[in-house]
Amino acid sequence: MQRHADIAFRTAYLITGSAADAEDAAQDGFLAAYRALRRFRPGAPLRPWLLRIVANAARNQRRSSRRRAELTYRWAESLRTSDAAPSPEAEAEAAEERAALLRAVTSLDDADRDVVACRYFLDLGVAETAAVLDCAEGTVKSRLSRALERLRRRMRPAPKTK
Amino acid sequence: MSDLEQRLVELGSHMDFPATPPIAAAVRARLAGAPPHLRARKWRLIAAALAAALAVVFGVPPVRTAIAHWLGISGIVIKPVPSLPAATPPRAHQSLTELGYSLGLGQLTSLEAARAQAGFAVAVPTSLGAPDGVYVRTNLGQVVSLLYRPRADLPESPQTGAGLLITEFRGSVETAQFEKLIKFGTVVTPVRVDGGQGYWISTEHAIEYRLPDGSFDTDGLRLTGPALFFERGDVTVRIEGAITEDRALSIAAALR
Repeated sequence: MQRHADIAFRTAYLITGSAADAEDAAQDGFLAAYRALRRFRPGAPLRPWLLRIVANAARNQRRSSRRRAELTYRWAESLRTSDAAPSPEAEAEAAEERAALLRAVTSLDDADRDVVACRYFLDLGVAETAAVLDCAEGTVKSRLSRALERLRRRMRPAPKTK
Repeated sequence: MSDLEQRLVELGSHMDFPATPPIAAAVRARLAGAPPHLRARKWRLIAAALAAALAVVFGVPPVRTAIAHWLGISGIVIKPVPSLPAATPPRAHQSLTELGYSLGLGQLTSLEAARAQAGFAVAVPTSLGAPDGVYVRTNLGQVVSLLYRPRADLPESPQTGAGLLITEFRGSVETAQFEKLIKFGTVVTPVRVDGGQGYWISTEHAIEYRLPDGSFDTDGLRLTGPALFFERGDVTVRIEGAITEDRALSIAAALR
């Protein structure tokens, strides 16, 4: 139960960008899952089914938050510094690189950001990512390569014009 | 994996997620808005059904205790374990008193006395006639057991030494009186019994009793063969013996 709650909450957090919204979404999702239990196909894996419902609730939350104000992604505050780096300077540099990459990810549009978050931040497989994004597995792959391409372009220094 | 992907994975490992709030508790509280009867019951059912799905699909490898608690019918918790603990097999030709003692059934009594003591309607399968032994166990609510000695239509169970054992008690989800230990890979089949939720376990498993202090009595642990357990009104019933699922279901249907 707690394991499902963790992954559901984190998924909702990465979609909504806020702990409070994620909590609401996870609650709504679990409640919806409970009410939709009769539609759960016995024998199907439970986690993707639950994640799909929670992710839908999170996207609804994201849409309604946006109506109130432009959504600010607070992931940037979630970055931890590590003490594994060889020197404070090296760690500072690595932290700056991570922050830059995170900014690039948050600047992606919703669809691109969600697929990146599922695959790399939540470590979900293709099938579970497809459940979260409510799309086909093939779409996950094409969306992911498109998102990575866009990220690469944003990370690369702007080409110099002569 | 490309360099960018590796950096993304590394970035993910540096993300600190906010602590997960108590979602299940909040959902339960929100369900409190529903009519009280439905509420407790339905929550129990979702828990049981979800966990049953887990148990059936995965043969329960990834189960932690927390998830195991999802699979509970009133008063019974199912806990998957890597292997079943050893338990002493029953001695042959025991008296009813000895048999009841070795199975942890409690005090041997009469059906009338058990009915008077139980506080709930004790049902007997009309198709089988009167049980040979009736027992009452009182350490955590009243638990009534009906024992049938082995006979032509009720073969002796190698685990219990009885022909059939029916246990009835008023269960609650919060304080389970019984814990069933099943081996990883054991299939727990959800069944409907008279419109209520039930489960059928076709293979050998172990049963532990809850002691008054809340702990489970591992000394009193015993093995059992196939078992059907289900809710009948507010009473949880368990039928165990060397019988088929169909036979167990027909005995369940004959309870009056």
